[in-house]
Amino acid sequence: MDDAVVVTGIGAVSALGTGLEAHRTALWMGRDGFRVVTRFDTSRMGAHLAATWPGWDGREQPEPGNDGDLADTAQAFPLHELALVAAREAWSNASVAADARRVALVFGTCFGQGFRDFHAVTQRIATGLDVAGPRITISTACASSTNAIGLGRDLLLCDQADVVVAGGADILLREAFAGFSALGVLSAEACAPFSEPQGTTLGEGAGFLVLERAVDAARRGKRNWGCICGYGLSADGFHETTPDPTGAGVARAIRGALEDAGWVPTSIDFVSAHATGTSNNDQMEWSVIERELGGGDSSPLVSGSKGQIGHTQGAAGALELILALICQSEGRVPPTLHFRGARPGCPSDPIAGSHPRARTVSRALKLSAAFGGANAVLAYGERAVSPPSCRPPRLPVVVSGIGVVGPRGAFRRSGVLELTRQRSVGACAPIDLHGMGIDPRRLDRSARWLTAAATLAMQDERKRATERTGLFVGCTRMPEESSRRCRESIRQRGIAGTSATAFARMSVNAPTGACSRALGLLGPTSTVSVGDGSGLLAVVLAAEWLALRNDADWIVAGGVDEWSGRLPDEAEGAACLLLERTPTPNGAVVAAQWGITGPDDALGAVRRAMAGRSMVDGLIVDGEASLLNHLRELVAPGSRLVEQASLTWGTSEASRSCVMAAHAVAHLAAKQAQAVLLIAAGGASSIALLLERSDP
Amino acid sequence: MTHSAPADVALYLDRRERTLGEVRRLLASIIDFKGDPTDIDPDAGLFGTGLGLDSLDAVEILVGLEIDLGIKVEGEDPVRLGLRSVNAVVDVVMRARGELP
Amino acid sequence: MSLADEVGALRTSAGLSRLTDVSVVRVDGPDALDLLQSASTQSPYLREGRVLQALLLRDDAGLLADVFIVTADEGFLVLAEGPSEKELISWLFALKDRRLPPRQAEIRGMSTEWAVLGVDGPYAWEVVAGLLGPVVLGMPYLTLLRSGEILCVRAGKTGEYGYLLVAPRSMAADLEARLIRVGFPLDLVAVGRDALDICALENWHFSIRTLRETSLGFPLTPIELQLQWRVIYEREFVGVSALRARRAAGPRVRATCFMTEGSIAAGQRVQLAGDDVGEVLAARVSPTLGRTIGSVLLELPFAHPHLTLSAVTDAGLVSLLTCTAPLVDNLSLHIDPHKHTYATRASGASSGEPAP
Repeated sequence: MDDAVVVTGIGAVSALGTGLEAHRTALWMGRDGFRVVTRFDTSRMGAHLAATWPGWDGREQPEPGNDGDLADTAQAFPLHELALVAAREAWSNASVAADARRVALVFGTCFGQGFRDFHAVTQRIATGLDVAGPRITISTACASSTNAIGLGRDLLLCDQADVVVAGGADILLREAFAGFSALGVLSAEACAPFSEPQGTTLGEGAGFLVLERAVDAARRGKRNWGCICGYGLSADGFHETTPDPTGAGVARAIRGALEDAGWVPTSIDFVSAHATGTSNNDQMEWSVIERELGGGDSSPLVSGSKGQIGHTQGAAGALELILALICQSEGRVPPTLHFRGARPGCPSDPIAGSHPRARTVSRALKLSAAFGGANAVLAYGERAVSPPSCRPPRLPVVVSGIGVVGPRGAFRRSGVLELTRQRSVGACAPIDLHGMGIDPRRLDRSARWLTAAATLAMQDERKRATERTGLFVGCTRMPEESSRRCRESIRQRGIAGTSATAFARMSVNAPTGACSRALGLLGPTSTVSVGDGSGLLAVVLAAEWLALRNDADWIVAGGVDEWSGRLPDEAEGAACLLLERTPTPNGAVVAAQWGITGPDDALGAVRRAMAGRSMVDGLIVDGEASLLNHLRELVAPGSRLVEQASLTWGTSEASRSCVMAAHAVAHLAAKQAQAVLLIAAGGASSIALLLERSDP
Repeated sequence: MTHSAPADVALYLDRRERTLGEVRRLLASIIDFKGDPTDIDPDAGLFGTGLGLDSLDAVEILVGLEIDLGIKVEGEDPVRLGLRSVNAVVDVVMRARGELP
Repeated sequence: MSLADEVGALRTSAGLSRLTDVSVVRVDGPDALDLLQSASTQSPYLREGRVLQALLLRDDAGLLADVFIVTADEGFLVLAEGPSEKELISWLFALKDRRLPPRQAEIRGMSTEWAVLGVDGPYAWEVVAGLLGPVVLGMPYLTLLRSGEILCVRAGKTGEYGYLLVAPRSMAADLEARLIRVGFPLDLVAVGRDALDICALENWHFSIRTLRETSLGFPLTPIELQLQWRVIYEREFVGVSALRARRAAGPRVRATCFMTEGSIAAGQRVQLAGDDVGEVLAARVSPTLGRTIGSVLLELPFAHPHLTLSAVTDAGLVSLLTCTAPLVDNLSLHIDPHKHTYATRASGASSGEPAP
């Protein structure tokens, strides 16, 4: 089966300008986008350059008031507007016509709109594009858009969509600048990847790709920019901001992408490196590239584009891939700017120079290594090099562990039935982390609940974490405690005194990174959001990963919500399921089928999850009562297990849908049901999952 | 390291205890220490062994010394500056305040 | 090779040691984690590749062992200094059976099957990398790697780079020979336990061999020994009640670092301005610093650096100065395995300058 995925449209906005032509011109003229920051005052920070979008020249970011609300000061810089410029260009570039409900949007961002809105921005972009299918947000710091593109490909492979708009965007804000400055990673001069001086230069921008199945694009005779052939994810599990110095995490993601693409390591022609220019990254990355892909004559060409467009944060993966694709379409590879000789341990010629170099590229990699230890690698190339599918056989995916922590305490599989007899509302109850073997030092509130729930899910089967065990987390906002600490540090010490630690811990994927570090979950890792239902999305994506690939034995998937005090009826906590692939599910609970559709298409998701079955004997809905009643009539008339999640668990975007899934698993394991349908509808996508007991 | 002892021992010990308390509280806040700051051993190492601080914490120490304790230290690498144990930090603070010979 | 030469090698190149006093014990079985959780002062929830440095305490909170714990297959490996292997195993067995029903765990001494070697020094990494490859260069402190049947733990108690190599006894002689060969151009030297212990004292790394009976009448606990950083008070483990009680009652003495130009022995009482304030716990001649250094147990109000104490010894009045640890500016702090090599080291740079 030819399941190749091709890029039929691209769109880009950055310091180099607006649109593909502007980027092409800048590439050919060897221009970089660095200018002195005028948007805010950088006099007390160690750096003064950035790569900002000319479209916002003249706009200033006001000083925060005494309340220091980070979101307010970003109002003049609407993220969705920036994103839409690029997304619309990609869409028009692709000139595709499709049923809007079968078009998906996967959007990656570090800081969202003013550090506060993430999936809300994705929704606005989707509306602006007329995308009515799934809308998924990825927040894995600077690997976000790389991850988004890979996930977009997976959605096509699993037939959850026919067209995917995938990419990322981020804005340059004072608080992000101050945070990176406090971490000591900003260069006083223009970013010089692999060279001197060390340090990075921040940027902003948006980059999007339109992805389609190759057969569909061929059918309408559309030329493509290239093929996305494979995708790998991993976690370093090392540190909040420093990458694993041995590069083992990046190596795992590279191997995952190569295996996914079916490519031999020595066949890679070109690598678009992450290459931030910092002392911790470049030499580590080069040693990994040499080790994994090198071999005498066949070391690939390597360059880093951050010396041209800056570090565009959530947009980095997409924008840098776009620069490479523009070059590739003209038989060239992008250069590394500002190179004045290699730093120790760095390549002596990372395509040094100002202009793209002539080179035919058949197979290439895009690497991203982000804060929180999140690594993402895309394998891409010419259409012709995508081999016919040799996917591993689809083995059943079973749920073999449950962990829930919340207002009523901690619950494992054996206790979950008890959990749902009473509604859970309020802050999370004190949990004995030491008793679970968890050291709570260095874990903020979100990280503690997530780590506790994941530990409980692993304890059911006494699982020990390895490089082949992953973590997928639904999380919809920045950790509250760490955000507050960061704001306080700014209030008490001024912007130049921003707490580096609090800043590092306030990214949406920080709890995921902390959990993977505490437990040693070093396999495929991601942080996703659709607003309501994010936990169930993580579960479904984990099941999808295990179904498509061979690089993970099991994945812990779930959601976490930290107490905010701003939501009515709030419930704080985390819930995780442990999903694993097994040839012999005998008697276990199987994640049989699932569907992901747009927010107004719950029935579509149900249809996909129910394919081939007409009835279930259990139905749990995280959504409106009207949907519950409609579905009850449709698929579960006469069933005793029919529940609305909000009656069991208070308001919590990420964890409730996963608590619901835990509940279903408990019923199935206790033989109180044979098949249960879960549906989360109310977020940016509708997620449906069918869980069945597999009796021998 | 200085090799002479302060003239007024009682005054020195009093100041030492006070400064040790300040440094313990600073470190406790940096490592999110849930216990009593007096549980922090005075000769505990800071980086690697001992309290196991990392590069992020190193930044916080220098910022904390300047902003919370009013001690400006030139340089960016605490280890290079000799800040290898809790007592070493106390020495730096007391020396800057003229309380150490 | 004199003791001073051995210490010199540990401070400027590298030293190879046979660590015959380190016990290696395997703990397996469904309750292995549970058993170790109740034995260890730190939580042994361990990730692959990580090494836990902890203590095993007796019921009265006195120290039984100084341990590293690592994962091994489905169970754990405990590398212990302090008790003999037999003593350690019987203690673990007794602990296993303290719970009813007894925990299901297998405890096996491995000393007949495995040997432990140590490589320490500013260029120890270069020696070990010569054996196990460049992957050693990036190993963070308290991590391990496995190469065939060899387990390499980056630990080290001298303040320089340090590695433990645990290998089958049948390989040990060959391994030593290979290390010596690789280490020859790096001036690798055989060193003994004494040299390692002197270096540990110079860097204020705890060595369980410095413990002795004192006149205090109670065993020294992590509180007096400044090892609370290896303890998590909120956990439940052997000795924690006694430890919490000691903490609540308020500690009376603390081990403090000192130097002296004179000569002094363990057990010697010391005075401050004429008043008896403590006793010497350990004292060694430091070739690096050219004088005697050690640890003195001082009553708490006086347990601080920069104090001049005196001791009336057989040889006359000796003056001691309490100090801020560590005493040595380690050469290893200035060496980056990715950038430096022994062959190209700058002449004149050396460890051994007293710390600023």
